[in-house]
Formats: sequence, structure tokens, C-alpha cells
Amino acid sequence: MSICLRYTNNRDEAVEVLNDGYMKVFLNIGQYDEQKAFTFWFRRILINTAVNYHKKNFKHNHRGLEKLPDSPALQQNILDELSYQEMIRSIQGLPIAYRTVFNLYVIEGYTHEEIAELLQISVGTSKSNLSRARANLRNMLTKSHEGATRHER
Amino acid sequence: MKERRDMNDKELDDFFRKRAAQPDIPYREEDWEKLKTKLEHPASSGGTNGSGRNNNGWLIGLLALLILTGFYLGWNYLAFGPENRGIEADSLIGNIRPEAKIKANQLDSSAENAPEAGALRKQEIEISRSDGTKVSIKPLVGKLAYAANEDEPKRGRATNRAVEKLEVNAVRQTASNEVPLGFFTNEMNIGSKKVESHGILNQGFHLEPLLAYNEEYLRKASEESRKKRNKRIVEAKVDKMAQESDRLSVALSFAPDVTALKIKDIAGLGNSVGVNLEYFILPNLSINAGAMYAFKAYKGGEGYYTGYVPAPSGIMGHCWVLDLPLNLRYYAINHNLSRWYISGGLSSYLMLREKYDLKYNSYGGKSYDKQLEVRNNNRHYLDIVNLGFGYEKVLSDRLALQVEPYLKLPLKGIGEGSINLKSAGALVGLKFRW
Repeated sequence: MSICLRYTNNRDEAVEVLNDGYMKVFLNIGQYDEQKAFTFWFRRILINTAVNYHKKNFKHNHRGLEKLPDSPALQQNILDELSYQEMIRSIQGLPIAYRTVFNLYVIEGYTHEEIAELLQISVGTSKSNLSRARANLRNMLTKSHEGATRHER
Repeated sequence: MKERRDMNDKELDDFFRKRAAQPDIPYREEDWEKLKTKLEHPASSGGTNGSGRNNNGWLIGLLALLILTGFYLGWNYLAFGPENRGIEADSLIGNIRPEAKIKANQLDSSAENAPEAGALRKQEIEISRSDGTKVSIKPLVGKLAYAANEDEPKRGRATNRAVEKLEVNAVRQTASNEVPLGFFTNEMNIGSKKVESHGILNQGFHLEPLLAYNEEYLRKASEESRKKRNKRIVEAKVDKMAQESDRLSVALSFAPDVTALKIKDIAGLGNSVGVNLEYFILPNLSINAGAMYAFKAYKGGEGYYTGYVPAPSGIMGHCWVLDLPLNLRYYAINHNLSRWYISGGLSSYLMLREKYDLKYNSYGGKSYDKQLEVRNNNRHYLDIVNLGFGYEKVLSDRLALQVEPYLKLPLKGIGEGSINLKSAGALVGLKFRW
């Protein structure tokens, strides 16, 4: 579920992706290599399902690349700690193209070449999207931090 | 803690990676219920794997069809319009007074004895047409023929004589041979005498003196005029039918092509064969609809993604497809026996049979193959863009040869693996015009 939350816009979509992932596991269990960890195989299924979801819905996503939420709905954590929920919301606040590249590169450990092959984009686009994702996340975290600081005062 | 805005990329990445490794997701019973529903009804439940049908494609196709239909109706109205109803010849017979007699007038050419030519020429009369409308017409004064009779004075001598009634046998046809609009009688004063002149009002609203009246002739002339007019109407209809029949044609087509995911991964030649219907909505613009049975072979390397997981490292695909193109064709350059055109539109792919050889690299380092066959499982309506330009050579009155290199580019993923399947080929067609 944590994987799916990072690739989708909200929990309902994440549940859809997760359930589809379960279905694929059930239907393709014969392809599982028992010499490897099941979690690794399942993780790959979920990532691929989420990426497929991204491909099918990319052009229908009404959030353009230039549009970002003015300020994410992050809780003002007075302990100045980023909670898991806040992290998910900040990632979900990214445009889908940035979000997918960020997840694959930073969290899953894909290289830019692998990301480019998977998403059928260029390596340059992958790097550019990652850079923009980082900038946007940095901006969101800064706003959240400043908001929490004002709240403390 | 370091200010977040000052975090470098590595610090930011570590920050998120650390948080992602500590998930805190509350459980919801309804999520489990959704999965149970999916397990119980896998076909009817929603999800991320749809059938590929795109309602937007239907709407776009329907909208395009409506626009083309409106175009066709509008062109029909402008090109053909209401027919020239003209005047029914039969109704004119009633305007002619069979009892009218022609009286020939001899115009004295001498100046002093000449009638007031100005008065004659400027004299207007009011004519009632067969439809009841009235027209004021200035009569044309032309040369009048006369036949001598025993009472006629010397010919050509300018006199101020009284106009004598003469009956002549000469018949002068109306200048235009058109069906007359009406028969008139005009009274003029020439000298001290009152003279009646008779004439025919033709369709140009010109009055032409009819020197001799012959009912038989008029009826015959009217009949001939009516026949000519009917012939013109029939010819117009025949022309119209001919134009309509020229609009439709059918072509048998064969097209070898190559299909690939990437330009470097061409696996061999495919081909397609089928029929194409063409209908001209404008003289140089036609709409084309066809059905092509196509075989496509392609391969993909590492990174190829399918709807099946894990993703294979390589694929070899063979597909049998029913391609239903819907194109507009514009004939830009037209010569007598040949022409060039450009074509563009959308195709629908009905995937009849898909056969895949999937290669996997297992986690233990070994590789294995898997065969996959899918039948009638994928439909892609108006999801492929067609682009082409062609050359047509007229072989005979109704036969023409077409050659058209083309490109087919998908708007969405095609087939079981939702892949970016591109095709390029050259269509050769034999076109028969109805």
C-alpha cells in the first residue's frame, strides 16, 4: 500500500492499483521464482502496475506540469517532523510525471536509463523531471516548515 | 536541523527514503471489501486494466461524421439548388388568341411621311403574363415584311397613305426560338390611322412583331420549345445522376508494411489486404472507409513493458488485425489522367489474434520463454492515426491504379501489452468507379 500511495493521487486510486497487483499475483503465481524473495517480486508487480496506471491516465490527468498546489495540505507539525502522511501528501502533490520518476529513482532505486525504458521517455526527460520533482518537494517542505514555525509563535 | 530549503539532492532523497521505509497507513475495512469484490467478479469490477475502449474516440468519430454529413448536404444544396422551373409551355397556348390576325404595316421610310418613329419606339405597352403579372414593355420596331396584293400601292413609294390591311403568309420566327411568354396586340397611330400590331413577347421581355400568324406554327413552335426544354431538364438530371455516380468508387488494396516498437527493432514484413470505399463530398475531397485484414510482426528488446508482470526482457509478436480506416482524402494536384492526393484519418484495430513469445530473465540469472496467445480480447476504436500521400493513375474510364505510402501511429497502447505499435507501408490499390 505504501508503494501504491506514492504513485497515485489518493488512497482510492492506490487501493485500485494494489488490488490489481494482488490479482496479477494470483494469476501469474506460476512465474514466481522461489529462489528469490517474494516481496521483491511483488514489489516489482506493484511498481509495474502503478506505472501502467500512470501511462493510461497521464494524458487524462488534469493537473498540468506547471500547476502545483499553492501549498500542500500538510499538517502543521509542531514537532517539526515530517510524518508519513505528510510525506505521502507532498509526493501526491507532484504532477504525475514528476512523481513517477521521483519514486522510481529515489525510493525504488531505478537508474535513469531504466526509467526511460520503462516510461518510454528520454533519459534527459527523466533527469529533468527528477530535478523538478526535487525542487517542488523542497519548496513544499519549506512552506510547510515556515507555516509550522509561525504556528509555534 | 538543517533548513529544508538548503537540503541538497542527496539529503532530500535520504529524507524521503527514510520516511518511505516507515509506513504508517491506517487500515480500512472497505479496501478489503473492494478486493473481495474483485476476486468474486473479476470481469465486472473496474480497475486499472480496462479493455482499451475509449469513449472519447467514439465521440470524435461521431462528431467527424456529423460534420462531414453537414458538409455534404450543404454542398448538394449549393451545387444543384432549386431547379429552373421556367414556364410551362402548355400554359402559354392559352395566351395566344387564335383568332388574331396579323396586319402588316409598311413603314414609310421618307422623312416627311415617316410615322413618328420616336413615338413608335418609345411607346410602351402593358403585357399580362400567364402568371398574372403585368409588365410594361417598349416594343421593338423591326423590319416588316409585306406581301403585295392587288390593292397595294407602289412598293417603296413614300406615301402618307393609309395603312392597308394585308395578310401575309410569311412567318417570321421569333428571334430566340424560345417559348413565347405572351401574344400581344398593340395599337399605334401612324399618320391619321390607327394601326394594330401584333407580336410575341419572348422570354427576354422583348416584343417581336409577328408578321403572320399561324396557329399551327405557334403550337408547333411551342411544342418544339417544350421538347427542347424537357430535353434540357432530362439532360440536367442525367448529368446530375452521372455526377452522383462518379462520386462513389471501390478499391481493392494490398499493402506490404513493417511494424515496430522502435525503428531498430524491425522483425520482418507484414501485409494487409482489403477493400476501400471512397465517396466524394466535394470535387477534390473524398471520405474513405475501408476494411483491411492485416498481419503484423514485430519484436521488442529490454525495457519492453507489457500488462503482464514481471516485464519480459524481450518479445516477438505476431498479430492478426482487422484494420478499419476512416480517412479524408484531398486531391491536391489534378491532371487529365493522373492526380496526387494526401490522406489523413483514424483507424480502428480489432485484434483478432495475438501471439507472443516472451523472454524472461529469472532472478536466478537463467532465462526462460513463455508463449502467450490471445484471441479477440483487444479493441482499439479510432486509436490509430493514418497519414499518407498517394498517386492515382487513370487506366480507363472507370478504372484507376493507386499507390500510397502511409504511416500508422497509435494514440494509445495497442494489444495485450499496450505497446506503441507503429506501422509504415505502401498501399497499392485498383479502384473501380461506379
